[in-house]
Amino acid sequence: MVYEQLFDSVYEPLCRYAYSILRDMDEAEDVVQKVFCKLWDQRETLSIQSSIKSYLYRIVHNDSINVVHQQINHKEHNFKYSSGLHDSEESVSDHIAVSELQQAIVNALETLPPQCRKVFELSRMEQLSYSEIASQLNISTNTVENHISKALKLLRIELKEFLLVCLLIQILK
Amino acid sequence: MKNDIDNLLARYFGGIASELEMQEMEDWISTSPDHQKHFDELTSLYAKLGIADEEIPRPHTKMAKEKVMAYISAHRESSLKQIVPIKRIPFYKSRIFQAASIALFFVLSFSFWKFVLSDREMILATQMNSKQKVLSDQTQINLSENSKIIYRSTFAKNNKVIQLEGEANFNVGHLGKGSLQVVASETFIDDIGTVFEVTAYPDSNYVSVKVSKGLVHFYTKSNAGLKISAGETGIYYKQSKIFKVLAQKLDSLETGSMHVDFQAIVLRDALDIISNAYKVNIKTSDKSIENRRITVNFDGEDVNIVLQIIAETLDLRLEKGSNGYLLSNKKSK
Repeated sequence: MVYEQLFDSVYEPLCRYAYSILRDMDEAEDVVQKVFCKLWDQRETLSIQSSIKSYLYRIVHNDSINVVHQQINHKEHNFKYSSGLHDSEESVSDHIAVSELQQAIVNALETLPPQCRKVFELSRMEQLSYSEIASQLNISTNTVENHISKALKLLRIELKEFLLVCLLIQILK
Repeated sequence: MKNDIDNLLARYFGGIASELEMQEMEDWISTSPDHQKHFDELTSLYAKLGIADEEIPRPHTKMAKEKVMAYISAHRESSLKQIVPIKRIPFYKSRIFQAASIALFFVLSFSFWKFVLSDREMILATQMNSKQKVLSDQTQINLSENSKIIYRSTFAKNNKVIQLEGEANFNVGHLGKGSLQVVASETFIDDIGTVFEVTAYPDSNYVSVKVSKGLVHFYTKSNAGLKISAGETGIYYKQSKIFKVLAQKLDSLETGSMHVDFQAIVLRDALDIISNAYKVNIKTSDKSIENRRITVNFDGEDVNIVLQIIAETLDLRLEKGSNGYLLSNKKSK
């Protein structure tokens, strides 16, 4: 049962990824389950060039972004983000890792040029679309894309070691 | 290339990458393990940047697995073929019955295709009275008298093209596929969300487009033409093959007056417009007169004044008879 093994190995990470965008675990699970069902439906015609996991992350990403953009207003989305109504069964080590990562992210964001940081925070934290950011800051969407591109490059370099450690913790668990 | 992929990734994470861009990204990822690693790191980073200050709730994995596996089982069963026992029927009857059924099926299919599905020409024509028609994409057409439109039976399924001879008013609908295009003589009028009227009589020297709402693109195969906005009238002169936008609206039918600015226009074209606007017959004694150009503007004068001004400007004689007006050279008398 290859499909079942795939499900066992990626369902939770995909849900966490979708959660990072949707800020609602029920919605995240809904998106991921639909992706698995779609994968089954298209199994005979699908042609994946990269890894299946990578493919699934991309589909979950796109579907999650679509859900965010379909929501009635961002207040509803940000309310879920800020209210923090959820169950938590994280271990102590996970909690420490999160705090350290949090600090690392804060430090990394401070290294970004001001406008680049502003654009990135509006996109990733407040989940505004690029066109909304462009409108708010009175810049073009191309400029927004350039800022995001720059931010991702710089943050990947700044947080590379930390990400590797987090990945190792995940693997060893 | 590096900058391209960085921007492509930025577009992907922003949720605005097109299908083509997604495919490009897929191609880039698959070309090298380093690319795959780069993408995976960014994905992980993207996730952590969004939730680093939260404790993540755990998903209900067991319940989800049961749901997904149940979906797979249900769809797997429905795709299995069912074995149906074949009834024993007399050999003689069975062959004839099958042959007859097949023949009937082909006849019905061909008829259905011919009369329902096939792409065929649809014509709506008027003579003494105007007609109204609503097309499948909700475009409302008011076809004036002595006019004709031609369109395909598959209108709005692949494209929306209407050929016009005469005059029609279009209130554009937006269902179906494609944008409306009106083909009038050698000109094309592309809808950009509008209400507009096209005049293109076969024996006329011009095609005019009057826009009430929105915007149209008015052009030919060899001339990029113009964009005509609400309140404007575009004219295409067939003889000189040029486009003009009239300075103000060509409103003639209701008020019987003209507000117009002719700039170096061929006289024949100007007379056509005046004739159509005032519903009068205007002739010239000599064809060479019609090729002369005129620059003049009118602001609500009646037709007598308009033609007198033209005659004065071109040093012509104007005569009015029972059949209309005649412009001639002063020397010819």
